[in-house]
Amino acid sequence: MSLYADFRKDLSFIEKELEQSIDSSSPVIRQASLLLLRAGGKRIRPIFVILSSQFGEYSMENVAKVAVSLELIHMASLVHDDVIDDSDFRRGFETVKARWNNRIAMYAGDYIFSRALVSIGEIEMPAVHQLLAETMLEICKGEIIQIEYQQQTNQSFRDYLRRIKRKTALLLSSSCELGALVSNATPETVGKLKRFGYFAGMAFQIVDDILDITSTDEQLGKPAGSDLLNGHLTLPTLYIKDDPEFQPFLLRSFDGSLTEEERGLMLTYIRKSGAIEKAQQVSNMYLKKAIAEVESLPDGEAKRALLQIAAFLGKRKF
Amino acid sequence: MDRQTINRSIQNYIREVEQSIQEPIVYRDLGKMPLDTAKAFFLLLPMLNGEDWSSKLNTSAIAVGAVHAAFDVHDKVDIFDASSKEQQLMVLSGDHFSGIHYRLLSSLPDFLLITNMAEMIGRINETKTDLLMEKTDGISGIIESIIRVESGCIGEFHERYGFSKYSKIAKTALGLIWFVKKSMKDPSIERGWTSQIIKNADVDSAISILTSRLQEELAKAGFLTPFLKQEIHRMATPLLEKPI
Repeated sequence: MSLYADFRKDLSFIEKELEQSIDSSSPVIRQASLLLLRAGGKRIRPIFVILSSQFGEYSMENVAKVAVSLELIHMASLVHDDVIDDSDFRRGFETVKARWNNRIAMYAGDYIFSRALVSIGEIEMPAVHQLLAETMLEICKGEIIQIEYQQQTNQSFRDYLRRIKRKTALLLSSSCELGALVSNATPETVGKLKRFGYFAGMAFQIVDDILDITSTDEQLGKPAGSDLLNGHLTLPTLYIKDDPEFQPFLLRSFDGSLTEEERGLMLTYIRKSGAIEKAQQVSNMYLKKAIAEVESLPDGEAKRALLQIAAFLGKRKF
Repeated sequence: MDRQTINRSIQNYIREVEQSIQEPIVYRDLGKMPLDTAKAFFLLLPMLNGEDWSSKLNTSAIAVGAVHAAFDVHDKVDIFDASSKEQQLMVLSGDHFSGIHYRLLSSLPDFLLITNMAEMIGRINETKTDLLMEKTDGISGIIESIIRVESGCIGEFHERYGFSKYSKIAKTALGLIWFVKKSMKDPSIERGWTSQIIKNADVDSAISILTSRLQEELAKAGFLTPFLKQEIHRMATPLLEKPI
């Protein structure tokens, strides 16, 4: 991504550290971890750590430990999510559970999680660990609640927002907060960056949920509409969940009886319903809030990059 | 110290672990996580033997219990189909328990134990994977693997707080208990990583090797009260149906 250009060197360093951190003595764990690492991803958490750390006393050593740890926690959660969702593909790559089985995926996820703690364990700052531990527990709580809501149509917008806060926004918010904390940024700056991460994270997840409907299977590397097929209502579908023409699609998605042809018809129906535009407006509202937090920070490359990322998040197509 | 006091200490500890890891939805749908009393006994062995036991040690010990609970529930995830709500909650409850262990150690904070415990958790997951994929060779390799899985975190805890002398006994005894249960086809040890790699002949050899090892270690363990030595005997002999 060209907007990372100014920080490419830092990101390359983190990428190497990531690879080293999962260099397991177990051949299967090593292969599984590399499979995940090479599937890529946007590395948005590491970049948020790098950029936030620029507002304090930047130390690449500490920044890398935090960035590696956060990306590993994210990766570990994806391996376990694929077990929960019974997903065979992610970003077009075979998942660990599909290549091997659920148990290997459980052990690989637990291994990657342990490596995240090894990485951050070297930072002797209580606030950093307490924040990360709370973040992890909240994310997990969010996933448990998501299972409670699975295949339930009586959900409110508030339920959805609370869910995506835990699912995505918290880790991005913590990425910014931790980057600022390890660089000893002022409490005021830490607060602004934390809020930036939170608002950007909310927008990011809403756009992700939109893309699940508007993208093709090839672009997503998995079937479009997977959220509904897995029993999850997202913002666009919340707008039309009571629409009598949409309801049969919704119920058949949830009970697993939706045919391929019906999936196509359902996606077309949602795209034409106006729900996508409404969801996009909510995402834009969060992005505006994110930008407002950053605007009062000192000028520089990091501020410019954060603003560019916020603009990109609103328009991204992948 | 008598048996009643030991049992009370173990039950108190288990209650504290249960309270720490409790999550309402998980508790409602999966119930209480069964915690291994033998592991609790060997973890608490220094305290039962009269060593100083601060609240910091107690919190760390609860963190180890949370890790054991996470291992146990993740071992129960179905190898091919985890799509039921119960299975999904097993995946997430294990992650939750792991998070609790980290929060407890962060609250102290004990950075060295965070790192050492994480290193060990990583090695245990590598070992379980290798056992599952049948990548472990020879009887000594199998014994060391089982000992690592069963007692690795307890060992890290003992090492961290200067209880290394207890660590050897805990490792050998927990390894032995595992193989004895395996020989008796005890369902509680038929976990995810228990593959076909461990044959009956290996189990018999392992029991013989570990029995001798434990006997030697207990003979040398002048620091242990005679009653605790007897208790360690008691934990293995009824299963073996012969004295060690």
